[in-house]
Amino acid sequence: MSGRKRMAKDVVRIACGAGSWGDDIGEPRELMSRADVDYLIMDYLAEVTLSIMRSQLDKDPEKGFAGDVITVLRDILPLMDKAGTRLVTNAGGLNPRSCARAVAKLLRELGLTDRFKLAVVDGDDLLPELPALARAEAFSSLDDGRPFSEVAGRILSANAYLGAAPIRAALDGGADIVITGRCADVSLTVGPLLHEFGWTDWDLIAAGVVAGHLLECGAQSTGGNYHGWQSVPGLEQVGYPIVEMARDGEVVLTKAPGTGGVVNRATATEQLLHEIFDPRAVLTPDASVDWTSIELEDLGQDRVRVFGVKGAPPPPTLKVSMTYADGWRVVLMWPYAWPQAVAKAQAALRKIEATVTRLGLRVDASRTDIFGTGAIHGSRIGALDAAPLDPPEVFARYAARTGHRADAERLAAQQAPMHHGPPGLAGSLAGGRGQVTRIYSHWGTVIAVDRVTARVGFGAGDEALQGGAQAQAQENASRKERAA
Amino acid sequence: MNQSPPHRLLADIAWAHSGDKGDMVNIGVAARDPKDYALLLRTLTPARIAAHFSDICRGEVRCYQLPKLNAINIVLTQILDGGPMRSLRLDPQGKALGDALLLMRLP
Repeated sequence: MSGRKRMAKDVVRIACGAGSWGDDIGEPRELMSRADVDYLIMDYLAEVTLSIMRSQLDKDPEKGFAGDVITVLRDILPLMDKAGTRLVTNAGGLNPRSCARAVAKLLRELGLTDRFKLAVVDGDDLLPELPALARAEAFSSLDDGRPFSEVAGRILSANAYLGAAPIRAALDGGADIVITGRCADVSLTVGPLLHEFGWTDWDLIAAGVVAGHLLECGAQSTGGNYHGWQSVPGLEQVGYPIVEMARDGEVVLTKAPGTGGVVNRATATEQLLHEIFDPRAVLTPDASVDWTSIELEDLGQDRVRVFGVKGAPPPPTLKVSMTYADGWRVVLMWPYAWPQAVAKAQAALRKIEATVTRLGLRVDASRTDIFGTGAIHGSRIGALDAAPLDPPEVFARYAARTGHRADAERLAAQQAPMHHGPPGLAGSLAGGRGQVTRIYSHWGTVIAVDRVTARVGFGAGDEALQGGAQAQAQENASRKERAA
Repeated sequence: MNQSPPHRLLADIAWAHSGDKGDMVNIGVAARDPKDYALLLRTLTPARIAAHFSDICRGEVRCYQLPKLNAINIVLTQILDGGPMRSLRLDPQGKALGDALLLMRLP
């Protein structure tokens, strides 16, 4: 038990230290050493991430979470302790209990067990109950409506996107570090806000969702991956975002003083448009948010005010991400230079296609590209009215999917034999072989919210699960009441 | 020599940002100058967008207006060769599709 005494606040400061798994592990320290914040969130999960974690968990039952969080915590726990900052992260991925055990071990090692109360949120993992759930739910594809029967026998992971309620329950229970599995990215932010402000008004909760959306991709709202990149100061190391959230629902987006990057109306707008669909009803487990109501005001000095946000009750379903085994992908690449770089690349691609046919390799789909000739934008590049290209160098690329591992390996071995194709092959990318990747495809669908029971456990997650289940049940009941 | 003036492109008046969810992509497009928002709306009709991406989009095109942000959100379905995990595309998450849209000619 941390036993920290905290005063109620009218403005809560929340920072984001990771927008995806693979973000630089030094950034949370950079942020924590420059800014005083109440909460740090770290978002490690994209749709594709659970697929990667699936393959790691297959190899080691203690893996399947974002191991970077342990390295980061070793670095910043003393700073968090000094500032009284709490952490909420979905680093738990497919294995939040293992992640929590690793954090508990680190706390013991650093002698900080008494300073940080640890909580685990799970219950997002639907895999154990999947056959029973599939009898009650259609689970058809959000992409194209295909029936679940097409993939039901091949599912390797199935996780519901939990909302903010169990995170709030963990914080209400005194947690200083909350490790979750799959939850909605925005809920990492909404959970602390519900804990601090006890909001029940949908407009206020919606404003919290927007704050979470501005944080969840890390430095993408502060000048990273930004269309105005040429005028961004310090693009070499863009500072991570901070939101100041007021009890009355006003949001200010900013970043730590002295960091690179920029926060202005345009950076905020660009992040607001990131991965949304119908803006009149952006669906999250915490609220349905009318994105068209959002107003922005540039306050200068890397501060943008966000206001006017309107919300409504969340939908009766939660999003579900599943992964399934879907064969292998093989990618082969060959660089060619002047003279006749493009013609050589074309000859190489003819050779590989002929080889696939000659060897009888079972390929379900394939494509060829020549990098350097408009391969990314395709024929659209013609709009530039540019002269026909005669690039000094190009890459030939061949990519294929196959359901047969042996065929994938045989195909990958065709990287080196290209030396006997067109002349001047200027090395290769990955040694003498192409890249073979096991494909864990994504199946997006939905589930009725009542069929999912979030759990909150304190310590490393092996105790006190009942309290959390009750918290979720209460939240569901009160949500229904408010929606009625 | 008589040279015709270069075509004006969407890139001259707007910026775009694209991202993925499954086999869907959204492209948020905003006018650089609020005065160009009406032109942006005229340019980005579902039919013109579908024609622009006819080689890769096997699904639908939907457009939504966000006037307070001078922006349009475009949703394209079945455009990533089955989604980022299985896609054979160079850009499996469609991160460059926003820039590809900016190559559209203004009407």
